[in-house]
Amino acid sequence: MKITKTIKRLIISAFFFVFLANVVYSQSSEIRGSVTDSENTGIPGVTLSIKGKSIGTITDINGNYKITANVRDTIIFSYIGYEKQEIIIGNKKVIHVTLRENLYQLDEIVVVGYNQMKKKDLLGAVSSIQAKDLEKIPVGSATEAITGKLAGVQVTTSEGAPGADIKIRVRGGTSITQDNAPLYIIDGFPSDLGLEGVSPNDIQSIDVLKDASSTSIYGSRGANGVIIVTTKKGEDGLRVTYNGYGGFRNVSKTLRVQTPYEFVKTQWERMVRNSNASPSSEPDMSTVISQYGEWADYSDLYMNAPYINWQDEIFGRTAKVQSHNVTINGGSKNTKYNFNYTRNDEEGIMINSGFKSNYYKFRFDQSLTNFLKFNASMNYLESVSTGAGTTDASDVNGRLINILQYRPVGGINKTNDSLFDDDLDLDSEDALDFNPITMANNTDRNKYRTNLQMNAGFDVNISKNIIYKILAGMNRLNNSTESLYDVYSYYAVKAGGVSATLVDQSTNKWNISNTLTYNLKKDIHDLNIMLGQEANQMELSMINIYANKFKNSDIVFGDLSGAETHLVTSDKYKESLFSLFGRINYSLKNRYLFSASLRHDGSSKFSSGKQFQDFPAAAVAWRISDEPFFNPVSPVSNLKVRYSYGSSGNNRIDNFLYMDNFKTVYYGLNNTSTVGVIPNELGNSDLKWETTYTNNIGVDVGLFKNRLNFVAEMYVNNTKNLLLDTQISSTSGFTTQMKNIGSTENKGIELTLNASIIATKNFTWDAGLNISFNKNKIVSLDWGENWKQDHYVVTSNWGYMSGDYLVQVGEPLGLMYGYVQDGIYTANDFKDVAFETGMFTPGNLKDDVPYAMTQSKETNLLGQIKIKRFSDAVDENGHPVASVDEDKTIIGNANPTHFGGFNTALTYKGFDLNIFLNWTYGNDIYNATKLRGSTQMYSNKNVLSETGIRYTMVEPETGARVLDRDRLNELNANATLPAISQKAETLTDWAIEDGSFLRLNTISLGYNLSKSILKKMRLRKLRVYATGYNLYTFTNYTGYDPEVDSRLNTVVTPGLDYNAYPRSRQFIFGINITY
Amino acid sequence: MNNFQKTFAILACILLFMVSCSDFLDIEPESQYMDENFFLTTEHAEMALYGVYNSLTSTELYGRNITQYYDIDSDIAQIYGGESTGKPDGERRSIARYAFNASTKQLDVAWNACYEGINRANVLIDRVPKMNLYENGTEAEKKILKRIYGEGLTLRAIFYFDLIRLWGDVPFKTTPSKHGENFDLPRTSRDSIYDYIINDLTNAIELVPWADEVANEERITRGAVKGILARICLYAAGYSLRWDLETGNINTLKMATRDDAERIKALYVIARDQCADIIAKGIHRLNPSYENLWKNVSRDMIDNEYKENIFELGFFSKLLVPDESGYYGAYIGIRSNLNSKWGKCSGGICVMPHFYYLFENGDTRRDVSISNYEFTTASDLTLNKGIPCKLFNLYPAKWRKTWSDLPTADVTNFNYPMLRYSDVLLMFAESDSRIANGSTPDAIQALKMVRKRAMPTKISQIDSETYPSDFEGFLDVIIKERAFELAFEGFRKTDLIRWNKLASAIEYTRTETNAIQNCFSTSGNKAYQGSIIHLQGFIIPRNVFYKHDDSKEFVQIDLSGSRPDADWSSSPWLNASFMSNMSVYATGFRENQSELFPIPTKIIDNSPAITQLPGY
Repeated sequence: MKITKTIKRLIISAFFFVFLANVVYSQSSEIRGSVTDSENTGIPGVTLSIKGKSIGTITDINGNYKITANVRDTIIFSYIGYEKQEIIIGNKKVIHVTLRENLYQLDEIVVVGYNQMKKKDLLGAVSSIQAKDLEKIPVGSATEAITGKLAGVQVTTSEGAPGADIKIRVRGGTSITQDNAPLYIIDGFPSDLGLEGVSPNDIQSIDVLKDASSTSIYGSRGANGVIIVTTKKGEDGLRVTYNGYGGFRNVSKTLRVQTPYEFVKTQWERMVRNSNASPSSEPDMSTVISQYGEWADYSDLYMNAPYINWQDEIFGRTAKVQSHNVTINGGSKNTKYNFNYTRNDEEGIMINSGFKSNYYKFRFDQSLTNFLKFNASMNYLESVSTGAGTTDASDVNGRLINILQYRPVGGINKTNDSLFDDDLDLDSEDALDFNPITMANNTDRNKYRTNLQMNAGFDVNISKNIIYKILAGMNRLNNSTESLYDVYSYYAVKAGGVSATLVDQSTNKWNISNTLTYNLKKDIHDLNIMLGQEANQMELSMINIYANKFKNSDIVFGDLSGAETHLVTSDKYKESLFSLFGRINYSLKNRYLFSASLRHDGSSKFSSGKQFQDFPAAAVAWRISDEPFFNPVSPVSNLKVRYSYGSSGNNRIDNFLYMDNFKTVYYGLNNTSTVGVIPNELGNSDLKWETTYTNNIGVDVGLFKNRLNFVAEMYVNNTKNLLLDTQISSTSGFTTQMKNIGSTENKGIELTLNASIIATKNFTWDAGLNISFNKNKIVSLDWGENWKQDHYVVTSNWGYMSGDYLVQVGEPLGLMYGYVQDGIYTANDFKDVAFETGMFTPGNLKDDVPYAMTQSKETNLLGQIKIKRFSDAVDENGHPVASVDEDKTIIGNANPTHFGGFNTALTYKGFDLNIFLNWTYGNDIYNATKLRGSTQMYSNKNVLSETGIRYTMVEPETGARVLDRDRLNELNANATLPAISQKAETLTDWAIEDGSFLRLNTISLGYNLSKSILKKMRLRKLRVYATGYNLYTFTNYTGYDPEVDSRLNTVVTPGLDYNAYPRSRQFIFGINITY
Repeated sequence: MNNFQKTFAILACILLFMVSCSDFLDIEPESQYMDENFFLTTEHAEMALYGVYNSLTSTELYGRNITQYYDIDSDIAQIYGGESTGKPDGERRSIARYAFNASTKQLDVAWNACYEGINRANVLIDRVPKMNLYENGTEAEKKILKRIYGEGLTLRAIFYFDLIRLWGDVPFKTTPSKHGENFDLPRTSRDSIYDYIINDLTNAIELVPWADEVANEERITRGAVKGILARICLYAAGYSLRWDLETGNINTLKMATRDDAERIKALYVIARDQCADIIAKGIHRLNPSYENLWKNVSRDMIDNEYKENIFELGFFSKLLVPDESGYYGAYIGIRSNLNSKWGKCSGGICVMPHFYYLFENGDTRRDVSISNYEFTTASDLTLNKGIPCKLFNLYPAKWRKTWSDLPTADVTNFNYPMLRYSDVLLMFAESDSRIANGSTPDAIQALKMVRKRAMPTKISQIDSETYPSDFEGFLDVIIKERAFELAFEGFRKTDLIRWNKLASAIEYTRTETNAIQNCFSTSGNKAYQGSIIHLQGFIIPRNVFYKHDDSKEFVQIDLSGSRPDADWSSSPWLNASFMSNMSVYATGFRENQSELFPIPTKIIDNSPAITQLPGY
């Protein structure tokens, strides 16, 4: 806001200097004084007027003024963005005034499509955040800056790793299989990198367009909301700012795994349970004894034994973070510039991981003639993130699981230290079991990213009322990932030697937009017409190289030819978009507002004839508080109602799906991979835009001179012609085809409340609250006349589970689909033959005790979980059985009932304190880490420790196997937890947890040095602060963190927690200096 | 510049830009071939052909499922695993144990892969004859394109043949798929599909050259077309599980042949004539050494001299991509641990114990086809030395990593011989005697050729062998001989079905393995009393003895049951704890029901016009 404010101040000042020449001096005395803001900085251009008289003046560049007035007069101080103040002169000669900023600034400028508007004139649903809000709580990334702060905008970070993927959803996801990310526009240029492409220090404002009347001007891709980022511009006078902070982070939570004593007992129990020995002979315990000793010695050997906590070894470090930012800002009347440099350097809490980035931005604005302005900006970002993280598809069981499950003690003939050795753990049944440190050290991954964006444009004032703007830009984004799999990595062992992959992807994009704006303000009419055209093209090229079997890992990426075998794949394509658009804004008497827009959008992703679609929208608003009948003394200072309706589109599907093409495959002819071709897809020439229709009703209320502001939005979004990769009859030779299918609905309410509770000269207290409710529903999955579809299941693909999510008409997206747990099998569930043979198999269950099809291979069901049966299926012997499909039911829902944020800010003299909390309520998390971490498919694996008593079949005193029904019942009278499972896990409601949380996200305490000290130091501003992030999370969730989404790439499988990198708590200390 | 000029200049710029945008949105793919720019050159046609071969090599078809999942449990092999591990598991074990149902995994994938291959072939068959070069090219170009067209017809026939032998009557489609078409097609009678593809193959014969006219590589030549035509005729004429498609009545479900006897006879004539042509041509011959034949396969060498493998399906990929590399020697093969010198082989298939003893003395095929040793962690941590298998856990060994230089991996690059000359000889013997309704001298001669190659030390004995003169008796000899000669090559189970012998073969296998199990006694094993004549009176030992001898590559095993000398170690052979796989062998088999797979639910969900196999 600073820039626009300063510009406004100057314009207004200029205006008044001219005006003043005509002012006739009256008698009376001269009053002098200064007008300052809350930071004690003089405000130039403040309007002073004498109540009831046509006398006035404005403050000079330093905020000082002189005015002549009578003793009885009242001076009114007013300035855009600040609260009005009235002061009776009395006998004062010098009056210093501190103006208080309006908390809710109706005159604030909001960026809407291709244009700006005052907030008070808005017709649609827009949430904004300004630079001044961002400055209060410094953050490392722009995404963190908006987390929880904007109603209707849900931000989910996939995991705690530095540079982790972030999911932003505006009013829920509309599409079923397509990308639901909003469209990002940075300084007028559509960006793929989104908020990652800007330094938070460089952001002037972020405006989120949520309803169709706002988004449809972006037509295509506007269906999931539009996030417009405006970066800082230059302003008058030289100003140099340094922002820097340093700090550290620690893991915020670790999971409890079994202690060595519990661990060895579990190993024993496992072996006992695994035994098929007949009751007459004892189970063969020799393997366990040779590793860990006899049962009787366990308490002596392991109760207080030292052990290795692998979570500490991997995530235990205190990671350092630092950030430095320099901004140079300046210019004269005709030339303005802004330079920004930001460097971030963060370590991850996991060993061998970190993130570094450099951001450079330069912006230049020049008035060439009185009617022609030129502007240009360039920003360049380079970053590298290191570390393989915890999620790696090539590690079958996952790295985090290995960290949790790797054995904590060596046992009787292996020292704990030897567990750090690089050799394969030959005791393990899993032949590729390395210790977690070896795993982390043997997979090296560096992700390099560079992004260069250059924009330039002209503004031409063709006449007084007509402005023509042209903005052109290019963007080059390069992502390059180097992964090295050293000798002791899973991948290398499978491939037979040190291996590497290089993925290099470049996108080149250009964009050009032309707009012509006509403004007419006459009497009570205010008309604004805009016509525009935009075109952009993106060109992607990608190369992947797999190089297997290097002699060693000394030189890898320097010379990939050192590998024995190579596979190179590449891809290259272009896509383009061409649009024409127009918008009319009309306001009558400044209180009846009307807007209509139309965008005509064409995309290269559809066949000719289907390429173009129109996206119309219209909105009306009524500012009731400006009506003459409105009682001016009522506490209501602002009241506006709005309604909008419109449509916007989505075309985020792969290219060329409308045509039949051939792609390459291989046939092993003559011991060579000989190139062949096959039909790529079943082209669908009928493909067209997915379209979202939005209804939005909004109310803006300001109370007590706008010190209390309230915004409510209600919306219904209907998305039709969903672009969905649909299953088709495979008789065609294809199993799926992209089609326009069915529809979804999102309904919701968003409330925002801002209050300036206390506002005195030395002490202020502000608070803000936003809360969003969204209900998602799949309305239909039908396509064509005779094809009705009611539901389908999808697989999240984290483990062996198939069909663990359900897509069902009438229900929301993100339903978790599995079995309901119904207690555990006890000794009473088995026939006598089970005790006689020692075989607790499904076949030996009592006739009326069902088992689940998934357990049919189980050799020891005793103590295992029971699956609740909803069907009356029976197996081939007529025994009741929980069937694979029919007994699956909906066991979880990833959609929160509501989410939001609360922030409060206190200032006392130079001190400021900001506290920010955010929450999510009512969503479920599918804790797959818990599911896998609680099974013991292989021996020598630790498991997560849970509270409760586990079912056992081992005699506590002797370690002997118990095969007596009564003794088993006695031993397990209080058992609530199932025995450790040795089989692949089954998804039951046990793994579904409440993901509600309230996070004490940030506390920041700052101090601004007083003006007198600053003057001596020749500084304009100096602020020191300390901030803590992620300080505490109130939640019942048992995993690392309830804010998690391990399967970001699939829209239909949200809320899964598998192998997610643990989140950290962070403390930083910073300084903010302006010269 | 006045305002008017400025406005004009700007509008002109905008206009100029918009005009140039008319084709701005029409973008052509750069990493795919566009339909309209394809099928212009012979190379294009060749690439499309390799695309069809690529379907055949997929894991779901001949890369693994068809030959290694669907061909068991038979009278010669079953899936690995005993009472606890070998039970139906909802996927490959349920398939092997005949405990499959419509939701069993690993079935729909093969269905889909077949139709994917059919569509690829349909595109080729549609487009190649329409190419300008097909009529107007040079002689060389025309020859190349004709061959490709013929190979396309043959490949499509193979996909339909596989669909029919697995599912019976299936949807039939012979045109390239286009958007807007109705793909939900009902079942078509298998007899009419057979007749259609037999006609296609007959046409393909003339289009495709003999193996000696072209490079010796993994492509179909005239001998292969003829041999595959013969094979398909035998299946089309033979038994299969049939029911009334109209009513779907379960009572009509039974094993039967097609009802037009004349056509059946004609089919046998075609089969006989095609085989006779191949034999007469003389370019495909038996490799004198059965072992060398298979060693060549595991060494990725195509035999140029004898060309016994008339058509080898080519598997190769440098990075061992499963769909291009295949599981021969990796799933089916000698069980070996990942950490061994040769890497992992699952040993997913076990040989039936009686089959091992069924081989005559001197039959070189036994020790080539079956391994009695394996490489497990239990043996030795260096793992380069084998240890003896247990009798109930012997492994098919025609594809061996120990014969190749290929180390660690889940998959191999070994080819799959889809048609061998010895198969042609045996098909000839079968069809010729079938037509004559009794053994003919030609048939006997063909049979003896196969036997003599297998038993080079018993040539004179075989020369004097006599066989039953009646057809049924002679067929039994052929059925047995096909087991020895073609064991584990992927057609045993469906061959038994076309003879309507699957039920009796399973029964026979149970009886025989029982007889072997009965030999077991804790006090020293008893003599065998089953029906295998040359085994009667033999005491099947509890333990065998083995020795690692540097002169022998892996292990020396003595099967006699007595320790040759003190250097030899003992290893369990016929031992009670290793027989539990017989309790689950073919457990779900039901005659007149299990001979075909049900249509997977996933398929019917998207294709409701396909009716389910009665009983599911």
